[in-house]
Amino acid sequence: MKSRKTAILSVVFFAVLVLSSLAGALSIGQIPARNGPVTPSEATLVAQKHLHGASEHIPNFEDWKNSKLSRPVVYYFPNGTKSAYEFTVLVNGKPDGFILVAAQRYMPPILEFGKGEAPSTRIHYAQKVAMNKGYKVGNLIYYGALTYGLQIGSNKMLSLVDRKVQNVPKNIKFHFRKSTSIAENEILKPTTSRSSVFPLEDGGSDEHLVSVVRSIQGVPAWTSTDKGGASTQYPFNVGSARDPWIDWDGCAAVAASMIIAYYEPQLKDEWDREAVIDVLHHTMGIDDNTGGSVWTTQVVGIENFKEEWDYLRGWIVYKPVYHDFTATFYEYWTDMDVISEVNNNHPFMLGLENGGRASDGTGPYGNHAVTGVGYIAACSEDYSNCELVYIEIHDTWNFETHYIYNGNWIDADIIKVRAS
Amino acid sequence: MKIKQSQWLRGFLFFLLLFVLLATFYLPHSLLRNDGNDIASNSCLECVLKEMLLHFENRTEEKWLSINVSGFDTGFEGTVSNGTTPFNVALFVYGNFSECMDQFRFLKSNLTGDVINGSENRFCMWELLGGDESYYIECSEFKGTGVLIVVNGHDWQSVAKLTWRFPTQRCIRPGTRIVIQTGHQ
Repeated sequence: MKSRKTAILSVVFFAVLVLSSLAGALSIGQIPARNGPVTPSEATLVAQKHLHGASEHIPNFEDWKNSKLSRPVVYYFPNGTKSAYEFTVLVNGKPDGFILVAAQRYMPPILEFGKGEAPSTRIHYAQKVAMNKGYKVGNLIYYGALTYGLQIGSNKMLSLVDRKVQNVPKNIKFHFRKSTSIAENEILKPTTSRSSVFPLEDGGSDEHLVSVVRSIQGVPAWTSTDKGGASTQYPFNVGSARDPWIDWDGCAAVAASMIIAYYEPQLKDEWDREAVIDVLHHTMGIDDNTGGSVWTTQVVGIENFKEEWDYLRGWIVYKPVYHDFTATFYEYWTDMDVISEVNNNHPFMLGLENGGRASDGTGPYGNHAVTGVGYIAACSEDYSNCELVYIEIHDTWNFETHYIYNGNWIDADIIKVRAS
Repeated sequence: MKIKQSQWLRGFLFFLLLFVLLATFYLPHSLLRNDGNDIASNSCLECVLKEMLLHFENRTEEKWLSINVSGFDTGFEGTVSNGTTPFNVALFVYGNFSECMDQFRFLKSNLTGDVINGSENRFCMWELLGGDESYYIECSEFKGTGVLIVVNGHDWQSVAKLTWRFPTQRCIRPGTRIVIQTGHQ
């Protein structure tokens, strides 16, 4: 549960990072006085229009067509100026996602949006921590990259991500790469005609980009915890028992196990987690002494998983596996491959050669296999063109979710997996 | 005695009726299932073709291969682009892998050029030919089908690089590397 919340918050967290990377450098200075604030009703119109656009143009956002928006939650810059309005998207009365609309006219109108919990849902945890530590709680803060928090004094905030105290600058200045700002947007001009005010109907003349956050729900984030060095031979080690190989079961086995468990949720408890990893270690032919494997054996190992599990069932393992798995290797892949896999709820394996660090500093990954479960992309406003910025990964080393910048490696390949 | 005969007759008629009913329900259904399998099988072959062509832009269908390839279930022959340069590409999907291998060997013996590189194992065989015209030919098992790939271009280096865009389950294509992923922390 904790892991899931952290994952969701991380999605939001790094969406902000993306926004900042799109917007350009964040530097300290004066907020431009021109243009002024966006009113809540104006922001609601922007959010409603975006709701409509997303449901029409983005795969798997169709259910937003008949959705409703919550009342906005207001975020502030550290100096007390409004920075953003957060709207929770309600599908059949239940939260399904969020839209973050700029609260100042010099900013791009849509800062970010996505499925999953709205960032402000995390505020209760931060408030609790603040109260326990005796801090006086102020505004909800948002001022750009890595800056979601709860104000606790004039120049400090409690991060919504790790609930640690951070210093905040007194004045913020955004430099947006794109010239179009919310002030130039037709939607904010006074009008009585609803159909004429929506910018997405302007034929794509607006140039600013939108940060799209997507994450596949239900993919576990885990690592292997059973020890190695046992004299027991496979398959009698399958499960939580010590393994006949080294402590590390192999990154590919752990990465693939999360995909298997996504399709076979009955295998998510601790014993089954270790069993799936051990069986994959066997079917993938992972080196017992190093934990190493190559993509060719990884593909075969995934495809042979069910057959091996069925063979062991009744005397080593007891729960059924319902799906047959196929795996396909892509040496060459595009941003749209990752976006499409995630949009269609297909977690995938990402093979890294000399992989760098995740955005939270985990790593460097080196030659490593991880599970891809989401992305943050920068899309044109009509979503006709998206650039993959981050891939959300479960890195097999812990129970957390991470983001790796697209291209933060010498080379990378993907293995798409299908269950039938 | 008459009563007994009548009971036999009624029993016979009952079983006849039962047989007709069963035949009415089960026979067409089983035939439909067969049809369904054929349709499913065909659509899967189409899926394979679609997946093979996923990373190519500006696809134009036109016949360019001078050697006749036969026996395939579905295929594509034409030009594709890697974004800048057009290449001739032919893709033939076989339900039967051994047929694909036969055609691979047939092509291999009929295409001329210097052999730059090649690989052959149980599930994938390929050969890269250089010369005035460069060719790459491959037959590999892919999702239970046999896929025959022919790529033609002016220089073998760019032809080899283009092959990286085809998804695979078995082949180590020319110029690609195997990286051992240990993932040790």
